[in-house]
Amino acid sequence: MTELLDAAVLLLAVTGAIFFLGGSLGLLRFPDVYTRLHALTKADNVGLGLLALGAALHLGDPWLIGRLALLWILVMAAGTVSCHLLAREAHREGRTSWRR
Amino acid sequence: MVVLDALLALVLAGVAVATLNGLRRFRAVVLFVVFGLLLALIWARLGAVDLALAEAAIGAGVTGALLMAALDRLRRTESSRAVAGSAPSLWPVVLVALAAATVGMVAVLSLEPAGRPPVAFHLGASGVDHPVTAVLLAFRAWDTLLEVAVLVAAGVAVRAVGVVPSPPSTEAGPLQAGLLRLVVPVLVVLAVYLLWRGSHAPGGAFQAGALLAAAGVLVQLTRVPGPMDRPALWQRPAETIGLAVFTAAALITAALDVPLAWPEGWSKLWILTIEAGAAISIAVLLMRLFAGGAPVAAATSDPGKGRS
Amino acid sequence: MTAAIFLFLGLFLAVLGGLTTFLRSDGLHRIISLNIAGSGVFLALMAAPGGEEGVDPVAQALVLTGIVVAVAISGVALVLLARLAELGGRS
Repeated sequence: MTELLDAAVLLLAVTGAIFFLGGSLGLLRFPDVYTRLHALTKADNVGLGLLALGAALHLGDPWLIGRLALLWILVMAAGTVSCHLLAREAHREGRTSWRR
Repeated sequence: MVVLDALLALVLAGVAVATLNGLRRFRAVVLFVVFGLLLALIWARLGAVDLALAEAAIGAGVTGALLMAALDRLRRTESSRAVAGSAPSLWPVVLVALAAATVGMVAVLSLEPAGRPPVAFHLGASGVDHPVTAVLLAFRAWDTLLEVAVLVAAGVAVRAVGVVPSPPSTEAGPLQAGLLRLVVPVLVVLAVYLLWRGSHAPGGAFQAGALLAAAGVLVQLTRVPGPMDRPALWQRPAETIGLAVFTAAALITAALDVPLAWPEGWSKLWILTIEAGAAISIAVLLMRLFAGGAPVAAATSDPGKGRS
Repeated sequence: MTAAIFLFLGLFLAVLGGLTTFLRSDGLHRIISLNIAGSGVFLALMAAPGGEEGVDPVAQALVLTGIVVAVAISGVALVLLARLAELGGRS
């Protein structure tokens, strides 16, 4: 049973890390600010959720799981609003979206 | 694990060099916040959890917010976009720093290890269960009192320099107001939790005060005028209550017996009261530092820009 | 070993930040480099004991005090910098 749990934790952590890597790749490679924001925010939130889930499974204490869930919700809220504010400012500055 | 630590150290050094290099101020500020967060990871690796909390909240968070506020004021006054004087090449400095660090390492490692202060031995006498809180508020309470005084002095200095700058032209949208409704109550509850937790686990007044300051900065950014912009009756008492409670405690204990020696059996209550006052003051003072000046009544239109 | 790495890092950051404070001419950059130098000193203070018997709580309390004082000083310096620029002086 513990091997199964450890495997699940490992899988979740690695998938979360892959999502973070994907978000960072998007930040580096996408052509304009809106697409970069989109990649970074979405991928990082999902990655954090998977990592938090893996940590929760690994630790097992219900108080810690609650705090990890709160962490994920707060980071999502902050990330969402930051992304919105950055995109709004970029739009006000007049940056246009990338076209093919 | 050593490989992880070496990697972390290397990344931090790289971020530090990148922060100090280059001309653009905004880039330097953002990289400095990254530096602070990586440093918080290093504190956690060294086992200093209180420092990790404080570095993330105060070192990266509040200092980053203060830098951004100053950056905004500088941008509004300077006509040209071009920035920042000269930036000499950093490579000679890096080499000198590496050489000095090597010399310093040899010097430090050749010293005899000093004896540790027996904090764990005397922990029971302090009234709290957490060694760092015991040192801060029981054994070395005098230093913490002076630290609160330094913060109050900073608040006085910022008030004396000028009034708060005029608010930004862009209005806060509904998303920011919604974030406020979600996050401010959570931050207040977390701050109270951290304050109470400091007596038996990493936490305490400074981290709690930083969380409250973060909530205050969010309100200051969203509402126009913010809580720090107009004169209000609660501002000065809130800024000084920490120092007042601490000094009162010092004077009372001086009259009773030895100053700053909390009475037997009641120490935890005294410590928590002092910490609560300190947390409130720290929060309001950090908000004052962020606002960047004294509050100004609504009738005055000129915030003091230009020559009078 | 961990502590030795961070001790070296702390000393490096302290000297790097300290020298850069004198070499840069822009006020904001100098405040940042002073903060980095301070962080380096804190790191060296915490990593110097070597970490065999756990963390030294007195050093932790000292560095915690240092972090708070650093933010207070940075705040005043930044407000002075902004005010100086607003009044027309060189920043």
